[in-house]
Amino acid sequence: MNAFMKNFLRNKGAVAGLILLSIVVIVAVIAPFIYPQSPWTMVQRPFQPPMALDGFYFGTDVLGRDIGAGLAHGARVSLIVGLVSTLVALLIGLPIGALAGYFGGIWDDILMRFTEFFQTIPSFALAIVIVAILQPSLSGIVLAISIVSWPPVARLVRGEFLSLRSREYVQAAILSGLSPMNIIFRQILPNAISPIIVLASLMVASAILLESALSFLGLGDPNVMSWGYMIGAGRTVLRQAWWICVFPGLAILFTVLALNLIGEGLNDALNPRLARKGR
Amino acid sequence: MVISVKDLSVALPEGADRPHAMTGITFDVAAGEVLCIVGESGSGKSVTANTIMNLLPPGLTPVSGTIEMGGRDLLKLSDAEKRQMRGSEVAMIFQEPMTALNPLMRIKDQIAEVFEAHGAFSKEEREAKALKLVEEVGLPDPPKILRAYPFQLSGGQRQRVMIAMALALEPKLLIADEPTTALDVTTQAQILKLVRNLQDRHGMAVLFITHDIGVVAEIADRVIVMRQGEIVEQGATADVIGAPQTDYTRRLINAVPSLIPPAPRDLSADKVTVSVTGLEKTFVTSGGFFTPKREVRAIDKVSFDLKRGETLGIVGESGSGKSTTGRCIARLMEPNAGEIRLGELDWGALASRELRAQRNRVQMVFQDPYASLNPRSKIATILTEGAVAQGQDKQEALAYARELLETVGLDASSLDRYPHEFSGGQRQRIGIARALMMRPEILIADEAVSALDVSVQAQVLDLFQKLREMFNLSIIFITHDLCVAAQVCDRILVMHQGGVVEAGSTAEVFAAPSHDYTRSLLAAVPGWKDDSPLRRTRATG
Repeated sequence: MNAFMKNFLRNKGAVAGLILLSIVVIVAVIAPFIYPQSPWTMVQRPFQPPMALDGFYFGTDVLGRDIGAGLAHGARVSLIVGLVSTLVALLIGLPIGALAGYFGGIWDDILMRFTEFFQTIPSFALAIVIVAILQPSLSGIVLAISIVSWPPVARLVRGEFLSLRSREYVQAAILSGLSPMNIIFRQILPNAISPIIVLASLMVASAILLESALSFLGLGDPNVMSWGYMIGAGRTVLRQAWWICVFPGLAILFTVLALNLIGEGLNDALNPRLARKGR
Repeated sequence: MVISVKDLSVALPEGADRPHAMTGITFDVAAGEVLCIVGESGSGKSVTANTIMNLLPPGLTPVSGTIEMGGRDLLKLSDAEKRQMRGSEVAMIFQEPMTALNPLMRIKDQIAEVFEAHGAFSKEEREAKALKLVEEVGLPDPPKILRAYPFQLSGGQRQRVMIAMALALEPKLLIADEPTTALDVTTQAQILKLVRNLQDRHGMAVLFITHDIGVVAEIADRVIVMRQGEIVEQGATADVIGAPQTDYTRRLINAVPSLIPPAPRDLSADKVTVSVTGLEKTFVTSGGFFTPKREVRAIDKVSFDLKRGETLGIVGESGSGKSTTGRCIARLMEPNAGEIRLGELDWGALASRELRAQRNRVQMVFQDPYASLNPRSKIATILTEGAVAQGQDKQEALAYARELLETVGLDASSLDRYPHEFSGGQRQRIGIARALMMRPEILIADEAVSALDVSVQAQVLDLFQKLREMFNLSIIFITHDLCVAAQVCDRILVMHQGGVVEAGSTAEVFAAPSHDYTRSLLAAVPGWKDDSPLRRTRATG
């Protein structure tokens, strides 16, 4: 077992996060087998509390849909949105930060003013506007989340590059006649990857939250069941049927918590010198 | 005796390369005496000092021995007693004056804090005392210094403030852990003199930790030589350095580069490979809304020629522009004016694409062996990627890399390993091999041996000489260490505040310096006074 895994597994919170996330992933993968019917189908009488009927462990909602099916299918949506939008945000933020940090000067000024332009707009408001323009669909939501979440990536990567580009091994690479692209991707990026991985794991969590919030407001894709939509649909009957909102809420809580724990564990394992003592 | 250490051993955590950081350490320091502990890195000299101060890092524990001071064993004190002891009885000054002071506190408050921590004096008395201390350590304009923040002071000034703080409560023992290592040679000479003067006046005992034999010869009454956690030799300085009894001490002393340059070589027949005329570089910090632009003239009208197979030394203190000159010639930095020619080629005017194709002609060896190799690449990649980028065949490049590794004294199997598996000296050899891979004509060594222990330094210097002959290289050797320059350079360029103040053959410059600044530099080199034991030992070989 290598040192990285050892350091990671030493952090109990990170292990708990990994277990929680694995459960969510497994549920997402097997959702079509345990709930073969669409989660939108009305299968029972509405407002059935949890465990009241056989096979309906989480109860039914205002229209008689199975909440368990919604949870399982919602897990797929949440994970896909979280992963894909983080990936897209990295694809936008990484090159911008890398170019700004490596070339500096006028390039840095232009790219960072552009980044700040996005940072000054409240991200949730911007996401709502983008979804409204693009029409609510899964790809539109992913794009909106990516667009509001890349600026921190760009700033982080820029900072790393600024400090790494003056290292002597980078100067040696310049003297070897390597091209700037080679230096950026082969010399500097591998040394900047640890903080980027940590940031990415936390971005997945915030993307899931953002998607839930958009769906809660009714801006989700009308064809896919999502945790945020379930909470939104059940909020008017919260006092009569608590389970409609509480279960998807707990699902969001635990998934985001798991990702944050993993992110913190990664941070400790990838930066052993910064790791706090006494763990 | 102010302090007597008996049979002291400190254990290293399990899995370290040896069981003890140091073992069986016994010595005394008397009032009014300077005891130097000298040794290479990893010899346990700093751990010894930290044990006395009770400042051991976690994982290190004293396992046996006593440290007796004023009738008490310092190892058996309670935490409260330890705090009381620190500062009032034993004080310490550190290597890095940059980080040893709190950047957010005025000097006045930092000194007053020492009194406050020990509940000494009233508020007004503290201020008066602080002023007196700052005067005593020879800082200019004391009232102004008291109001200043650390960033407004130079390195030497900060070290003086550290000394003032250490003296605040009139300790019986002052521990100085490499206090002059980060300083320029003229500043170092002043600080050493200051420590000596203060000691005469206050009669304290001084325990001085250093890796520099020259500093030992300059300041110590007695000396302890340590190696791998054990005392190799101890005695009066004149005896140990003048007539070393053990092999290790003798080797250590002989590894110190001598300030006396060897006989000059005849280079009149060789062709000029580099000629630099009127090189200038000005750094401009862009002003903000409220701050004006600031211009710093880093180098000003530097001109010189360098012949094939010749070594030119650029010496000077920090901020003299010697590194900037090197970087401009390597074209890592663009000069504002001046011409750099390699033979017939106008090197300074090459556009970036042509420059990249010819980059191999000028290569550099860097100072920090830990930062100059990409930690994520194998040695094979580090050595060959430049050659491959220049269009060389991968297999051919690997074969040449193997050959070069053997030339610089490493095993060819090193190719499959990562930089962290090598020691500082080995990494520096890899850095040299990387530069040679490009088959350069000119090698610029920027403080290439400054971070190495003296014995390793001597080996790397020999390697430079050998490679210069093998590959007929022209070397520009940038260094702050005049002894190193004396040994490897054919000609010397002395730089001061961006300008060249003196240039000439090494023998001439060292024997009869013409500029005042050169004279003051030479006079400041520790340990090489006319009657010093170091000079005697080295003169007799």
